Amino acid sequence: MKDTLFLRMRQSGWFDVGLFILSAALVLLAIGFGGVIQYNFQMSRMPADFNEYQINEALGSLAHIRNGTLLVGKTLLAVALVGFSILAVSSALAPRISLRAKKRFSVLGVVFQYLAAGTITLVILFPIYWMVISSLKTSHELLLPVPTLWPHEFQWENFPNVLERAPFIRYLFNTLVSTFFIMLGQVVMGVLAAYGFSKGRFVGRDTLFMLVLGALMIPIQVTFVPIYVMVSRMGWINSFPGLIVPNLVSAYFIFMLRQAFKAVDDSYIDAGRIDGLGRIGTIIHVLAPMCAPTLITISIISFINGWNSYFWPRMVATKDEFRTIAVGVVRLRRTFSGVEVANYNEIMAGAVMAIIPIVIVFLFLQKYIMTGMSKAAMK
Amino acid sequence: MISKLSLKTRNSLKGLLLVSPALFFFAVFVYRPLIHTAILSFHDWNMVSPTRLFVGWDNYLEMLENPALGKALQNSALYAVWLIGIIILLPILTTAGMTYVHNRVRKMFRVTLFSPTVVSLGIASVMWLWVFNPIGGLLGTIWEELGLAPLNWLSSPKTALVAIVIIVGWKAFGYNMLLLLAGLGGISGEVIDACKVDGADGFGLWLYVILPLLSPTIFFILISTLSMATEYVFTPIHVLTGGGPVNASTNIVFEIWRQAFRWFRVGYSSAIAIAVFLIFFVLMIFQMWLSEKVVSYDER
Repeated sequence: MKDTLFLRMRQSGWFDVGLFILSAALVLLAIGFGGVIQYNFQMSRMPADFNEYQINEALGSLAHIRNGTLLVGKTLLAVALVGFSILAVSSALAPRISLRAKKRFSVLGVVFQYLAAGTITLVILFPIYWMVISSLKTSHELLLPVPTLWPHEFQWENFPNVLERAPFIRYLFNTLVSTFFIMLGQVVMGVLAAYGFSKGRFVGRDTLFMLVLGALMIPIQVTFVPIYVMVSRMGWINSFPGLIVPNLVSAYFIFMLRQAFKAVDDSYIDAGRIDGLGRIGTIIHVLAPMCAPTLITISIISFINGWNSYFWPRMVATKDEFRTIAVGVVRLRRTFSGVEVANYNEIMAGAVMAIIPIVIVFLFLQKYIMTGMSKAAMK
Repeated sequence: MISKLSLKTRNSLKGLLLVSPALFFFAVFVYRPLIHTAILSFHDWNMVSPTRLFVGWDNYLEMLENPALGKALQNSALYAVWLIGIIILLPILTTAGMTYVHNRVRKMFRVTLFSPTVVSLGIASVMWLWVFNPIGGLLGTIWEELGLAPLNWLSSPKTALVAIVIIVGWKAFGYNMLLLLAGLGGISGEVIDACKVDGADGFGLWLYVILPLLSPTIFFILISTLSMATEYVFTPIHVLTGGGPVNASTNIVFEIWRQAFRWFRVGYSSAIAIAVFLIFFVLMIFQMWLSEKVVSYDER
């Protein structure tokens, strides 16, 4: 009977979420217990006449971190266990439906996988977590020899302080405007060109497409000097056209959209033609709805790339009125003239403000990003 | 006028009209600058003076003699080896381990993997600068915790390159792994079941069935990583080390920028740029050839 309950639990997806949390908890607990063992070992070798301060000095971060890690690990463990018991009760009470297990897993394999997933999660998310909590610390706490995992005291003033130090609102505005127009240009030009290259019939179509593929292979880091000279001759240094125009078309998106359009059968287009649609009409009423996921994905990726770009904005915008947010955050370090170490809380506050809009976009639209990218990767 | 032409010619013209804005853009912002770079590479110019001096192959000859560039080239190879390991091979191996992870966990895991992508490389560099900071930084503390000598990651010639590699690896690992997981999800269970019935087990199944079926995704990752590689490595170098200490972390793409914008030696910079372009070109051709040979697009 026990076996059947286990199988029933395992059929729920929440079982795996529980395993995921459990594995993260186990990783943390292992680190914590390692810390405890090392702590006891070092304590046993500690000279007897040390006072508490000297002991703390000698132990370094062991004095604090082991407990914090253990605490987080235990909390996660408790969450996982409570989750499992709720799951056990609910699956025991649930009406008995098919109990056939879908697949047979080797236990060791599953354990390994969840441990790996837990470790990767911790490694990837920890720097971001570190940035966020550092932005809330006081300067004093920031420079403690043993960093704290959770701020003792929240200093929310860091955020208004940064706003006073640099024109962040202006940076955000610049980024939003330039990103919007870059996105618009890349999507519209991408759709037009992709339509021509996938459904148009003209001499030399595939040869001309090689030019697009070639552009994909010439990064701006190779050709930026002449582009910079050209842009500056037009007087576009420190202006929105300078930020926007050199990024207006993306070979990568033309390539992706062409793949999507090619998958649409010609008969749909012919049907649209018979109903009296022109080329633009066909794109708007036939291709765009059919390739909506790709279009949405491309718009989002274009937005993220535009928001995050650093190389070109750094070169074109040398005045605060036209700096974008990524450049602004990097510049922020220089405004502290040598004492930046004590002010990392404010720099991190700036960084947090810079990524908040893009994180919101991502969280709301992640479904489209994921599906679109997986399609792109399989072609 | 147009109406007098035949239908076929008219269709051709309209098709050309659709692609012409993009092609015009590429002509102005990609190909003309490339040719211009090639021309500049035979000149001596400081970007401001109205005249430029024709010097023939001098810039290219200097490239061969300059030890700093040799160092940059060597570093570029090091970066390539490290990054191929961290953001291409490691995700493939990790994905190999993730065959059975449940869908719901995968969805959560995907959010984790994607999250570095939304952090701009410039901002990520600043964030990691704080993590690497000797006082109060995270990594330094862990490092000393392990009983190792204190280390200032970014200002030691031995570790500056590794520090940059860590940042780029952090940024790109998740994205590539995400694509691989998506590719893995796209392989039909029936194929795998059939192979199991035929007696394929763990490792053999992976090597002979799943890996070939994943090859389009792997190829896609190779292409996209290569085309992003210049920006990936340039930004952290530019923000954090400026190529230093003692050229320990510079690479050839950074040298293009440094020669042109710090020392205003546009001609020399352009010569390096052309060399980088040629290297890229050869790599791309090699990848194309590899994809013809190895990638199997069947059974999808």
